[in-house]
Amino acid sequence: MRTSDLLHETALALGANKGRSALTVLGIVIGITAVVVMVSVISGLSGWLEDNMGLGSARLVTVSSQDQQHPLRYDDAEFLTRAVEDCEQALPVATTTATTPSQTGEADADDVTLRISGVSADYFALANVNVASGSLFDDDAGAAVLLGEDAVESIYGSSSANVLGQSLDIGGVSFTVVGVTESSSLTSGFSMDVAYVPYEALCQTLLGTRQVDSLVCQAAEDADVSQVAQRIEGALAARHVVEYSDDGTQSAYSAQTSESSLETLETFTLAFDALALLVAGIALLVGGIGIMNMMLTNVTERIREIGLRKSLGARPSDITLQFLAESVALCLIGGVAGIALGYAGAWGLTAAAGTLYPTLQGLTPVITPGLVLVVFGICAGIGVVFGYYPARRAAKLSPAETLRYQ
Amino acid sequence: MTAVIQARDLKRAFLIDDETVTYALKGVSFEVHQGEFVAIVGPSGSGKSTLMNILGCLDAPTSGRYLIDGIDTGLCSEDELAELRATRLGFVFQSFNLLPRASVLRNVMLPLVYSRTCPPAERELRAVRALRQADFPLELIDHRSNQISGGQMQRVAIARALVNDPALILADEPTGNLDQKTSANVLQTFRGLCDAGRTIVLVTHDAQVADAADRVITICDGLVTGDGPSRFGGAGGASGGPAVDGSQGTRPQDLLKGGWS
Repeated sequence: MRTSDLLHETALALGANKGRSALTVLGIVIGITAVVVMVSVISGLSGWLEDNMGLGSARLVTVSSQDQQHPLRYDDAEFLTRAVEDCEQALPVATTTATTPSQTGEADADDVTLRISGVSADYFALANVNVASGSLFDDDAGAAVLLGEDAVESIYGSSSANVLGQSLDIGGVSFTVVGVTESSSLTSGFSMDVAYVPYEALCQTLLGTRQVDSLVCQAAEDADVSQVAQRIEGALAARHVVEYSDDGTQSAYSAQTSESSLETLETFTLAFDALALLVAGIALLVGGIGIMNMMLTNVTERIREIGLRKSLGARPSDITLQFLAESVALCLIGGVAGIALGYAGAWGLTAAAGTLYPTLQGLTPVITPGLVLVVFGICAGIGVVFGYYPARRAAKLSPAETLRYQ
Repeated sequence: MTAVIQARDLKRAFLIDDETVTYALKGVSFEVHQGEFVAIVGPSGSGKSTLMNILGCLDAPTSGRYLIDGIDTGLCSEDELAELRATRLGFVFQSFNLLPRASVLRNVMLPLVYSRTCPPAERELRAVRALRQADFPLELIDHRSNQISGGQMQRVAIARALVNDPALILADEPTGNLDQKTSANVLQTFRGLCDAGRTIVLVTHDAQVADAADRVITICDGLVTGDGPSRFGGAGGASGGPAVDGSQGTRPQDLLKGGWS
């Protein structure tokens, strides 16, 4: 039997029972829709999380001192870039908190506490902090301040207030607002009101000393980030002559990578994927059983046709192939419908989520050609697996008996 | 003359239950030569349907040898038997057995789909030729096979049996579902095919239908009880002779009550 003949027979057989075929396929359609919706939304979600949690900057290593006797020093930054392999950049960060009077105009408004980071200009690119309005500052900008969007809202009562160029009294020192930074949508509501000022300016004014609370380092592109972190710990310990052991437990310095949070995210999406697969698997199993049921009914109903075909010279393999082709075609039709429905469903779901939870805006489902291919593979697989038994049953029927069947 | 059918002591046992075995054929031997028009007659339960299935390679004898066109079917694999059916046998059934949703043309081409030897481009040509031989009105070849009359359906079935140029045409009660006039026409078609050199074996339980053949083999209780020329030497049945003129004797359809026996 040629492929063209097989397709002709399949089209004829499926066309004969459109209503029943459609109902049977519904199981597959639902299963595939579930797969497509879940997989596309989850991969959209993990991409969105990476963007919004700054996990794109997975090469960051944050160094801090655990021992007050051995604080980090300003020249440690330059030391690390020079002495540690694959440590491309190291920037000192000083942090403190200070209050600023509320500018809402309400008489009884409380002062706002800001978490202030003294950073160099390179810090923003490294830490993935973006400017919403205004501009970043230079290292020698003096008493300039960048406010987080949340801080603007806390101080001025509205995040859309025009604050550029205004001067602000922070901890008794007057700063000029040069820009507003975007707050990460994921952390908004949880983080404190943040403000960034040039490192030197912070040290000279509020701190009075060149204090280094942490060093933000960037590992080289292809480097193993956790190894770089370990090297940093070792190098600092050697430099400051403190006890150091490889497992890091006795080190005065700790170098944290963002890999740990990346791992958390991966576990999280893996768990979702597993759940999605389970649900989809059950749906497809039910759909497959539906296909098998229909094909068995089909074989019984067409028992005389099978006898006729055998009497005309069809081999058992021809009969097997014919019924397999029907079940695979049914499943593929279900797959096409499922992909279309799943695509629409995924967009609908993310749009609805974005409307209900504004923080989720910008979340879009990701449907890759790979996913479509996998879905078609699954469909063909279901067709073969659940169609094989009925097809073999048809092929094994004795021609003499099938012709006698009424 | 070449023997198209050589049946040697064919026996076929059926298991009724775990204990009981019954023989539908108890040792049947005969030969059919090329160009013969043979009727196999016998009452219901005589074993003629079992014999027909074995002759059509749809069933295998429990013992004995069956050769078609010199090929020993007992030595053939299942696929080789399918090949035999596709290339050397043409079936005509009582209930026509056409695919209802397929066109007349597609129905006739079906054996060629399975035969592997006929190039697709030639199928339609051969199907049309076969339909012409079966006296089918060619303007209807694109109709669906459930949109034509019973007599036309049986002509389609005959064309389908002819299309692969078989060594043997097997007809099982071909007039069983047809009225008297159409039956006579169909039998006349068989007569014409026989005159053109075809070998035809017709199974019936109707003696009048058997009169259309040249030779009648009578089966009773699993054994051949008679083998000789038909009453009218092939002139009956088809030609509207004394047996089927309706004025006397039993009309074919009165005898056909059991459907497939």
